Amino acid sequence: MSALPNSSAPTIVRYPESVESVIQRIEACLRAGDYPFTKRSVAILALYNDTEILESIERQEGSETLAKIRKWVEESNATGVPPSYLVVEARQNTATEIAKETITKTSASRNRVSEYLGRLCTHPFWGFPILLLVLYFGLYQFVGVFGAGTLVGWVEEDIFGKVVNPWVISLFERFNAPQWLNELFVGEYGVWTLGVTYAVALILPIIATFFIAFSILEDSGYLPRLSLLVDRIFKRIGLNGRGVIPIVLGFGCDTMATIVTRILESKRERVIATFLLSLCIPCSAQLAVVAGLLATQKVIVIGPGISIPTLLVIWGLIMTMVFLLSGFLAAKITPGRTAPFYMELPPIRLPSFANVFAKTFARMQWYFLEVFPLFIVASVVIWMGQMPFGWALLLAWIGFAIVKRWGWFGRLLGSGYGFFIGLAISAFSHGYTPFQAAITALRPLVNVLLLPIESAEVFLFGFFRRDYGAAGLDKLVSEHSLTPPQMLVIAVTITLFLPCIAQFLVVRKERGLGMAVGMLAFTLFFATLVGALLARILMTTGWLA
Amino acid sequence: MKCGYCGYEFRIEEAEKGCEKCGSFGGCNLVKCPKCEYEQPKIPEWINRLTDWLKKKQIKVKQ
Repeated sequence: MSALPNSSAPTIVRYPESVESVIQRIEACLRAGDYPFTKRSVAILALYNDTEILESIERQEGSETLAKIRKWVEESNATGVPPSYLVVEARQNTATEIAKETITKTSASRNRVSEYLGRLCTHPFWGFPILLLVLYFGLYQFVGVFGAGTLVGWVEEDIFGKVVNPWVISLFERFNAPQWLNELFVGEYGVWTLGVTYAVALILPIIATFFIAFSILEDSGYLPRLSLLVDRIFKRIGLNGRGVIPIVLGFGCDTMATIVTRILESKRERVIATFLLSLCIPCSAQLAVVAGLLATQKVIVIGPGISIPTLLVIWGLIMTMVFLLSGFLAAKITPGRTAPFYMELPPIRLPSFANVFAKTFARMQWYFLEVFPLFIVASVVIWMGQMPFGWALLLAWIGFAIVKRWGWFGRLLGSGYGFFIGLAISAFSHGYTPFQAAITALRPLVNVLLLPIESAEVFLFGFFRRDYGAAGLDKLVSEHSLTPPQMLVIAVTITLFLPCIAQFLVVRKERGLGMAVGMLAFTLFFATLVGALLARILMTTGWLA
Repeated sequence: MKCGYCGYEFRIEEAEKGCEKCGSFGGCNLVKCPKCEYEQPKIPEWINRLTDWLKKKQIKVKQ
C-alpha cells in the first residue's frame, strides 16, 4: 500500500475546539507515513474507534502510542457527547452552509405549510399537544368509537348475531350432528361461534380502522418526527429515538417487534426494548379492543362534540407511567450508555389515498392470514381441553415435546406414554377437564384482582394470543356486566399480563431462555401487583363506581 | 417501494437481503427497509397496478 502525501489543503470543516485538539494531538503522534489517507483523516477515523485504522496505528506506531490515543478518545467521550457525533454534526453544518451558498431554491419547490407543520410536530412544547390530538382523533374517535363501537356493533350484533350464526347453528341442528361435533363447531367455544366470530366480526373491523389510522400516520411522515420528539424521553429509559421503531411496531404485533429490536445498536437497548414490549405495549387487537371497550365508559362531555373517556384516559396514564418507570429502572439496572440518535427527516405530506388503501389492505391481509388459522387452532385446543379425553391429548403433546430430541422413536414413545397416562387420569378425574383445571389454577389470580371467576378465561385465552384474550374480554363485558372499576382493573392487568406464546418463543430465541423466563415471571408478578393495588384503591375510595 | 418510516425508496430485491438476518419462522410477508430496517407488509402486485391506474386517472382529471 503506497502512502498518500499529507494534504496541505485548507480544512473546510470546522470542528469544535474539544474535538479539534484531540485530532491535532493524534495527528502529531502519527510519525510513520504508510497510511491510505492523510494523517488528519486517520486521526478522525481513530476518533470513531475504527478497528482497521487502530490496528494499522498499532502496527506502525506501536502499542504505546495506540494506548495514548485510546486514552484521549475515552477522555473526550467522557464529556457527554461522543466526538464522533460532534464530527458528524460539524460536517452536516458545513454541508448545509455550502448548500446554502451554491443551491438556489425556487419558491415553487417549497411548501411553507408542510415545513411549518413538520417543525411544529418536533417542537419540544407544541409537539406533545399535537401527539395528544393524533391519539384523540386517531385512536379514540376513529378506532375506539367508530371501529369498536359502530362497526363492531353492526357486524357482530346485526350480521353475525342475528343472521349468520343462527343460520349455521340451525344447519347443524337440521343434519342432527352428534353432540361432540356440535360442541366443536357451534358450541360455546366452537370453531364457528368463537374462532370465526372473533376473527371476522370482532377483530377485523377494529383492526381495519386501526390500520387505516396507522397507514395515514405512516404516509404523512409523522412517525420519524415522533422519533425526534420522544428522543429525549427515550434516552431517560435507556433507548433513543430509534427505539420508536420497535415500540411503534409493537402496537401492531409484539412478536414481530421483538425481532425488530435487532436494529438497536447495543445489547443494553435490545434488552430494555424487549422487556418493555413484553410488559406494557399492547398489540393492535388488544389495544383496539381495550380502547373500544373503555371508550364508551364514564364519558364526560365537556363541550359540543368534545368528550373525555375517563376510563380510557386513566388506562392510558397507567400504561404510560408503567412504561416510563419500568424503562427508567431498567436503564438504571442495565449497565452501559445510550447511543446518540440522528436521522434525516422526510418531508411532511398529505397522505395519498392510494398509498393508504394499499398499505391497509396489505396489513389486513397479513394480519388475517396469520390470525385466522390461529383462532381456529385455539378454538380446537380449548374444545379438546373441555373434553374428558383432553388429558390424554395434552399429556401426549407434553410427552412429545419432552423427548423430541430422541428422534422419531423417542417421540412416538413419549407421546404414547403421555397418552396412556392421560387416559388413566381421564378415567379417574370424574369429568374434570384440563380447561377446568386451568381455570381453577387461575382462580387465586382473579380473586386477588377482585374480579368474577369468569374473567379467568380471558387470562387463559390471552396466553394463546393477546388478541384472543382481548376478544374474550369483549364477551365477558357484554355477558357479565362488569362494573367500570372492574373493567379498568381487567384492562390494565391483561395489558401488563404475560406475553403470548409466540412472543415468549421469540424472546427465548433472541435473548435466551433465562431472560425469557425471567421476563415472564416478572410480568406475571408485576401485572398481578398493579391490578391488585388498583382494585383495592378503587374499592376503598369508591372512585369510578 | 417506499419506506413508511424514513421515506427511502427501494426495490423488493434490495429489501430481501434484510430477511437473511431475521430469526423468525418465515412467511411473514413483511418487507424490511434496507436503510432504517422498518418493517411493513409487502403490497400485492394487483394493488400496485390498481393504485398506478388510479394515479394516472387522477393526473388526467387534473389536466
